Amino acid sequence: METNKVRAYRRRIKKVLRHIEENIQQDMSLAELAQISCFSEYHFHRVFKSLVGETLKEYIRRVRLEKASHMLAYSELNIADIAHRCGFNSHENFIRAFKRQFGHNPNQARSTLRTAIDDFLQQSHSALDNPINDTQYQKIKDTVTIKTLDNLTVSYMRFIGAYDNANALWLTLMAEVGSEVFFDPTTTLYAITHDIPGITAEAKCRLDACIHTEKHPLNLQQRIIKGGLFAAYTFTVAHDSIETALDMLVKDWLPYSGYAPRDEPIHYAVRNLQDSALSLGAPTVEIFIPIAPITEDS
Amino acid sequence: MPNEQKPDQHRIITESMLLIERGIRHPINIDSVIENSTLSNADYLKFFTQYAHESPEEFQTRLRTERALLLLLIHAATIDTVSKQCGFQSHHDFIESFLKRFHQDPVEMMEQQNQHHNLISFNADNTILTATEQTISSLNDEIQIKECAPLAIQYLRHIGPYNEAYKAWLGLIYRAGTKYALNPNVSKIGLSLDFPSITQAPHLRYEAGLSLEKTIPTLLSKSIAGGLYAIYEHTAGPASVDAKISEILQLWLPGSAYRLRDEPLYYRYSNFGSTAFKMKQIGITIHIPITKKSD
Repeated sequence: METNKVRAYRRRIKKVLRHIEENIQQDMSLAELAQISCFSEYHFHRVFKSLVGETLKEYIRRVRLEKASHMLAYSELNIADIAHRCGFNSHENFIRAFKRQFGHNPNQARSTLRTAIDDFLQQSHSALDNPINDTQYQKIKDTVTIKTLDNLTVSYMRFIGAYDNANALWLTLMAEVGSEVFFDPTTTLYAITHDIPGITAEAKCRLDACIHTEKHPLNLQQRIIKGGLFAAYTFTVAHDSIETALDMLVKDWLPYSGYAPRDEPIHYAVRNLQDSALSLGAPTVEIFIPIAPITEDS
Repeated sequence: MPNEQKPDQHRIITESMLLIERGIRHPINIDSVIENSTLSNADYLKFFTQYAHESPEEFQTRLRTERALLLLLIHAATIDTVSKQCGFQSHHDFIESFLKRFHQDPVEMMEQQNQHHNLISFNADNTILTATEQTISSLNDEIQIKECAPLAIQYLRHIGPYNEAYKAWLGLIYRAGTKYALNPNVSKIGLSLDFPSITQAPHLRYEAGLSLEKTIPTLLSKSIAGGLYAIYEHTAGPASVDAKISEILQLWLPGSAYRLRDEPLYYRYSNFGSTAFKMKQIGITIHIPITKKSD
C-alpha cells in the first residue's frame, strides 16, 4: 500500500535523479546527493538501490554512457569532448567504461551507429537516394511552425520501461490528479522522452508524463520544460503514428530547413483531451523538436 | 459537463448497432432503425459512418456474413443451417455474399481451419503457427479452466483496431470519473467481439466496461455470459496480448479437450492507476469462452 512515507521517499529520490541528469557533466559525490535527498549517506544508498533498482554508481555510469552514445551518433564532437561533456575524468576512463558496457570502443560504436542510422534511412525511406522535391518540401514546410517557447513549469510523473507500455503511466497520472483536472479544457498533457530505444535498453527507457493546468494546484513533483526555439508539428494519432510523424519531420523537413536539432529532449503536447473522450476520437498531438538555426560557425 | 451532445450521438449509434446485431436471423429494416434513432436521416448516416467506418447497410451485411463464417468454423454446421441462422434468403444469396466478402468458398475455409487452425485467431494475416512441445507444455501449465459467474458491466464501445482500444478507456474514464473508473474495487473489463482473422481492423468491436453499482447514464449496460473459460494471466503488457491469444486459439485449443464457445472473449485488467515508484505493468487476465468437445 502506498503510504505518505513511501511517497515522500519517492519524491526525494526523484529530486536526486533530476539533479543527476541536469549535472551529468559534473562530479557528484555520494555525500552531495544524499544531502539533496535529505537522507543520511547510509540510508540514501540503500533507499536509492531499492527504489531505482540500480546502485547510485551504476545509474550515473549508465546515464553518462547513454548520453555519450547519443552524442557519438548525432554529433561531430571528438571522443575527448564527449567524455568531458558526459562527466568522465579522462577519455581513457570513458573508453574503458564504454567498452565494458557495450563491448566495443567509442570510435567503433560511432561508425556502427552511423552505418545503422544510414542503413535505416536508406532502407526505410530511401531519403539519400530519393530526396523530396521543392513542391513536396513546401507542402511539409507549410505544416511546420517555428515557435519560441518560454520555460514551462509542469507537474509530472516518471515512467521507466518500454515506451509501448507507457499507458500505465497515463492511467496513474489520471488517478493522481482526478478526471476533473485531467480532462479540464485548460489542461495540457506533455510527454518527454529521454531515451532512444535501441541505445537504451527498453526496460530502462525514461518517459515523463507531465501535466500543466491553470486552475488546480497539484500535489505532484514539478519540473521545467526548457524553453527555446522549436519546430512544432500537429497531427491526429488516427492518421499518423507518433513514429511516422517524427520520421517525416527528421527525414523530409529538418535536413532542408536551415535548422539543426538542439541537445534537448523532444516533447509532445496533447490538448483538449475532453473532445477525444467525448467522441472516442484520436487525440491531436503537437510534436516539439528543439532546434537552432544553422550558422556558418556551426 | 460541457458538450453533452456528442456522447448522446455515440450512444444512439451504438444502440442502433445493437438492434442490427440482435436481428441477425431476421434482418431489421435500416430505415426503421434510423426512424427510431431521434436523429435526422442525414445526421444518423453521417455519425454512423464516422463511428463505424461503413454505412449501416454495409455493417448489417458484413456482420451477417462474418457471423456465418464463425458459426461454420465453431460448430461445423451445414451451410444451409448457417445461412438461415444468419438471415440469408437463399443458399445462392449466402454464397454470393460470402464470396464477395472472403473471396473464398465456405467449404474451403472450413477445411483450412481444420487443417491449420488459423482462421479463428487474433492474427489478422491468418499466419499458421507451429507448435513446439515446449510451447504446448507451457500453455498447458499456464492455462486454467474455470467456471465463471455472469458479470454485469456498464460499458462504452469502440470500433477500430484493437490497439486503439485506449480511446474507449479514455471515454469511459471521462464519463464515469476516476473516482469510480480507477477504484481498485471496481473490475475493469474489456471485451473483444470480433476475431481480427475474420473482421478487418477498422471494423473490430471492442468494449471497455466497469462493474459499477452506481448507474452512469451515458454508459450502456450488459451482462457477460458465465460458463466455462480458459484463463491465462498475461503479464507482458498490452502490446503482446494479441499474439498470446493467437497462440492459445491456434496452438493450445485444437489439442485440448475443449472447443470455442459462441461468446465474446474478455479481459480483466489489473494495476490500472497503480502508484508504485516503478509503474506496475497493466495485468491482463484473458478469458476465452470454451465448452467441452464432448458437449
